[in-house]
Amino acid sequence: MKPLSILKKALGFRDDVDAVRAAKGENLSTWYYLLHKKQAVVGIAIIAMFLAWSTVEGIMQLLGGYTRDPSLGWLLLPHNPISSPSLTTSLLPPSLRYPMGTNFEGQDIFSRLLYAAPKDAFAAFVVVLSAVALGSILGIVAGYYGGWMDEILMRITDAFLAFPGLVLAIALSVLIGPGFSSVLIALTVIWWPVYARLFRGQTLTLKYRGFVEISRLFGVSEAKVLFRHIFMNALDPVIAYMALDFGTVILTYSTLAFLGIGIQPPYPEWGSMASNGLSFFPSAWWYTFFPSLTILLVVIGFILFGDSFQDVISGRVVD
Amino acid sequence: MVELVRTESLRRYFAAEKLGLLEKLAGRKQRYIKAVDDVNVVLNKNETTALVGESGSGKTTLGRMLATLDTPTSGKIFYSGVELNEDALESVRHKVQIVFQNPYESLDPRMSIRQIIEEALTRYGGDDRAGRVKEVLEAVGLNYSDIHYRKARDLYGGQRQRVAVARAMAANPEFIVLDEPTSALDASVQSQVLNLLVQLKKQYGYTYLFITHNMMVARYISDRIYIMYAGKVVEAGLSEEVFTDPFHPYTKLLMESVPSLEPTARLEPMKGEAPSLLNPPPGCRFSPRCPYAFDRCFKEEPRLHLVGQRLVACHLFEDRERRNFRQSSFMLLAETAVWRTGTWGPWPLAGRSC
Amino acid sequence: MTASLSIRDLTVYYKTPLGLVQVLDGLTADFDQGETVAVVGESGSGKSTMGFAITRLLPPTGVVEGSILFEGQDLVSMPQKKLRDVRGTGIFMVMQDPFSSLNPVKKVGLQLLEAVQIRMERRGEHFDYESASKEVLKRLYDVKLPDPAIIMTKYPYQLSGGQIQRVVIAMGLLLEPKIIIADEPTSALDVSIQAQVIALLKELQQQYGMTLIFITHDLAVANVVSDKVLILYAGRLMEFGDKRDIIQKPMHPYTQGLLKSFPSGSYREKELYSLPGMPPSFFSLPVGCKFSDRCPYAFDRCFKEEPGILDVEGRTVRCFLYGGARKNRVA
Repeated sequence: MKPLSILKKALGFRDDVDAVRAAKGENLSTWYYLLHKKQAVVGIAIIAMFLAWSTVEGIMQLLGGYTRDPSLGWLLLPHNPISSPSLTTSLLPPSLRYPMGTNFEGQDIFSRLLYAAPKDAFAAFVVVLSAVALGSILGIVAGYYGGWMDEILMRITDAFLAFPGLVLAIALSVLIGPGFSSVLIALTVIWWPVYARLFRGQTLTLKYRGFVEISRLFGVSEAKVLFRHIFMNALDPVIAYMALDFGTVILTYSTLAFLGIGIQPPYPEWGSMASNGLSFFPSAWWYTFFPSLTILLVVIGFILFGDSFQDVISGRVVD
Repeated sequence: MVELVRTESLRRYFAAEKLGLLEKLAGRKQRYIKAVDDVNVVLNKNETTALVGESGSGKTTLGRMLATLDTPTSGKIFYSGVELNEDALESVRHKVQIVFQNPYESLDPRMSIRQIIEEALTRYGGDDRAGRVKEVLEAVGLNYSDIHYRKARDLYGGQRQRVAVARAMAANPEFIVLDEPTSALDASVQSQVLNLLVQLKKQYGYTYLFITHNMMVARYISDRIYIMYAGKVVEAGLSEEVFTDPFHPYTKLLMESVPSLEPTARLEPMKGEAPSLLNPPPGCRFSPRCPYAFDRCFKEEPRLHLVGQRLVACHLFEDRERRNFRQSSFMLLAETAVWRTGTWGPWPLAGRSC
Repeated sequence: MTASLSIRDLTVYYKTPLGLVQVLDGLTADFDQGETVAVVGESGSGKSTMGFAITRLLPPTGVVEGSILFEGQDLVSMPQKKLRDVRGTGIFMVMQDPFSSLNPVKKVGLQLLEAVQIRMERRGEHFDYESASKEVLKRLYDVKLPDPAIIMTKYPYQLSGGQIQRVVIAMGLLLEPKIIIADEPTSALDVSIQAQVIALLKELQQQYGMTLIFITHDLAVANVVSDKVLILYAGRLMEFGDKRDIIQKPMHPYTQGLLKSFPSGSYREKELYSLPGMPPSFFSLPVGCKFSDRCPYAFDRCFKEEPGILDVEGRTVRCFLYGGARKNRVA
């Protein structure tokens, strides 16, 4: 496992030091255990590749927008992903020139997939993080103070949870108007209630833990207690859930695109590519196959990571 | 002998179930678990008072109320003569600390030991906080430079409990509630922590309320002892006296239930189980399990009788109390005091200095 | 007397992400039929692991070496299918958390009837509901449960901790095992209930002549319950012998320390004796004797070489302070 040891070094892990710490019976960090789980390493590798590429490509696209030279956005790609339709290159099967074939408009699918990556990564992060921000505040307040506050906040949460998420998202994004940001808002609106529930549940157990109760005797301000003791300690299980959720957001985002909501043509999006390709299935199988495979791969990456993270935090305490 | 903490008919009832709006409209009555029911205790300065009882006796609830972590349903708590209420709460909290049974629960797993102790110094007036952290960690026998950067999970059980004690000391309290501080520890470590607590009390003049179910530990650590059963104090007095000659049938039977290291040790278990706090038995709460119970015990709840320097809630001791009072006019005064205020003490430790 | 259970060189490892951890090392002991042995140790002594190793209920990460002979059969090499016939009717285990040994969604009576059925099937007897119910009622009466008929119709969660532990003991009686292993059966219970359960176990063990292996952290409990005491430290047998000998005249410095640190008297009279240091961690055991870092009598040899087990005055001790014939290990 050469690459793994390089990765470990890069992350500042030193096997010799860790071995000594382990020999002293100390519990090592979550990440140490994660890097000893194969499925976690595979997940981390997929996520890292996805994020690294999204960052680089995202910066290029931003630069392109800033300098008013959109071609910067596909400087690193083999082909122009939004080239004007060309019948001569329409629906070519995978070849050396077009590794994943071309679509009906004659654009390179590989380039289009890479071009669309930053938007998916961005959507996943914005939606999950804003859902966590909103959900944590409401959930912690409801759980910690209880009483009528809890009743009101949780009934609102339940109302949101009672709607089928996708339908609500579609309705909302239609209401706000088409576009990338309206999809993000719609997704956040359907995403936060789960986190509110999650944080409330964590808060209910944490607020009776000794270190929360005792901090009242020290005169620690309530805001500090809520953040330092409750939010920070509620985070571990939430991170596991978040990791799984990144994949789900990408999937839902793609589903919306598949249904024609969100990014408008000619700009590529994984979900809409898969959906467009479906009408040429199975003769031009690559059109829908590769976008679907990409979505699947990224989602699996997040699931592998989230799953093993969950395993590690629930089994870490060895007494 | 100065009184530090006193309670007057302290009660804490918990709602047994949460009634919905419909049930309330249907006229269903809220039922209560009487965790602490009419309890009067007096804790003297620089003394260790042990609070002994089994689960459901209300000892932890009482400890939490005295540590200001829980509010009584009724009754009063006085700290150095000042009644504990909303206004006095902050000033009382300067002087009160608590150490919980399970140090794993009471130390934030995400914070380093230094951060944990520093948090206790939020209100601390002194300038040198870092110095204070070092000082208290060293006072409990931990090596500051070895330990300050670690998380609680990297420590052994005994070390964790020492950190919890150090944190309680950090803000210079007068009164520390110790809620079963050694029952999660191994036998060989328990004695280390007990010795430490004794030494700290001598050094800093703390007043302890030591809550425990372990009779031997209670006997070792305490000057005075309260035995609780089903939310009530059943016996109270000087530890030595209570342990050498227990009065209340429950105390007697409890002692016979404790396994010892004597070669001839035998267990004499008492029958039955602790009563439901929802519907405590009428009369004396111990009557269903008591081998000496007679008619009156099942009907009338005994009040605390003052016998010598001891308080016993048992009908068997009513006569002895009367005889006692006739002998001494001082005791008669004491009786009137008990009758009027519903409380007792402080009273001198006979022939002993502390 | 014949040994009903003889353990030879029992060694248990756990696989962890940090490598193999040895939790029991070369444990050798014989338990005679009808006697009560208290296994005493602190956290991390491997005492629970011993119980789980005998019943072969270790988690899948556990690796067992050595042999455990029960009725002439080696439990360590026994296939799972055959083991199932030993569990329950051969060796019965009472856990610290009694709720974990009962099915939460089945009534207590039904589970006890099943125990009778299992026993009868294994012995090739005919199961008859009427007589089985009578037997269940009788055993519930034996364990001093009030209103056995009502208890039978309840679910485990409707009973208190003490009652449940009695139901589990009644189940043990119905299965009529040769050996009962009780892993801290009373440490979750109140003092008064603990005394009841201990007295009950003791009474039943004498009545039915079972071998009782009582795992505990409390020497005082061991004193009232057992005939023999086995002291474990860091996965090693440190001292094993007659209870009276060990509690009154302990030989191993660890046993002496444990006994001396037992709280007695008042703080005004004396400071409690306490062993220095912390209970052992399996990751950082000393090189020589595993107790050498806390031992007040340790000398040079103790830090370099681990003592073997010795037979001294009718008991087994692992300490260099005592001479005597080296115990012949049975291969």
